[in-house]
Amino acid sequence: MLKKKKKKSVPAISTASLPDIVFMLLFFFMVATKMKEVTLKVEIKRPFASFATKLDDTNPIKTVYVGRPITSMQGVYGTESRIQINDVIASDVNGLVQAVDDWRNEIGDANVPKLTVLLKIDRNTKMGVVNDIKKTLRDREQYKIAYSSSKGDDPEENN
Amino acid sequence: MADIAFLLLVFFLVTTTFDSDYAIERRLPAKLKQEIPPEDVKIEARNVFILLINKQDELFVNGERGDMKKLKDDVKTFILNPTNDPRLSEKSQKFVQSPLLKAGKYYKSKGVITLQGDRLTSYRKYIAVQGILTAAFEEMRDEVADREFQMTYAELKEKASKGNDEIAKKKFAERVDAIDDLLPMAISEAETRKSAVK
Repeated sequence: MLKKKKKKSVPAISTASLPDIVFMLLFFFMVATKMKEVTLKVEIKRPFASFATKLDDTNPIKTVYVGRPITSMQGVYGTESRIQINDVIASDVNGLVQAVDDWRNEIGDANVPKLTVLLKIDRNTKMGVVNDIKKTLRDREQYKIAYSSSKGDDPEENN
Repeated sequence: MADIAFLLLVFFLVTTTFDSDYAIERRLPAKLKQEIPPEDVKIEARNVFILLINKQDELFVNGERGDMKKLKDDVKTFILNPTNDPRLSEKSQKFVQSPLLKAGKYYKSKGVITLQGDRLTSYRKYIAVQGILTAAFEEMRDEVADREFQMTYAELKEKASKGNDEIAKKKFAERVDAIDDLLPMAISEAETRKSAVK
């Protein structure tokens, strides 16, 4: 039997719709992206909580970060847990006093009782540091706080 | 055109982070105008549920080793005390009077949960316990919200804060307040103890 060798050429895929697809993805990511408000100088892995709620973002929220300095900052700040407020690492917990005053000026008197201080704290931090922060905030009469956490059970929970 | 779009796409792909902000909300105790001597603050022993996390991150409930898995139900039983157990929290003498809740149905608990830690306790464990406590209160509030308003507590809260209808928002805020008043998140976060070994 003779078989005719036929050269089948695969037709090229039309790329005419490619820009459309790319644009669609682009818009998706543009809408979904939330820009980071600060550059983190401390490393933060959030703790797990079996129940947590989304913060009501109609009220003013200000964030305090606590964790070990990132590798490039360890030369200056060491490896112990440090507190970062806005863009700087505070020398100690008293830096919070000034920060709370600044935040209050920024948001205006009417909003002061609505202000929530969000504590973004690394899960391996010791409670001593956390308690110093809570005490400082309480002394400044900043009562509304929130502990940032991941929703879900701790995969390493063993008790 | 597509090239530019690609470039932008890659930029947004790289910068996007999808972690949404979840948090446990708490209210710190108000600063005392005057230091009250401890003997003036009397709470009956049965009304206090003592949680302690030691520096090895072990949980103790009322002095005995506690189980994280049972904690949520234990907290609910302590507050609600469905069987009127004299070892669990005491209820108010009178029914709760509220125009929003069915009369003659609800008692307010006098129970308080205290959460103590050590300076060396890990934040991870502390938040795990806080999460369970929040879940326990949320479930108890959900039960009331469902019975009285046929909604979850979270739905009530959302309706109280979102939307343009101020009158409706106020109505839902009042419902949330009624539930909060019946089941206040009575968690006292005592200051952590100093660890003996540094």
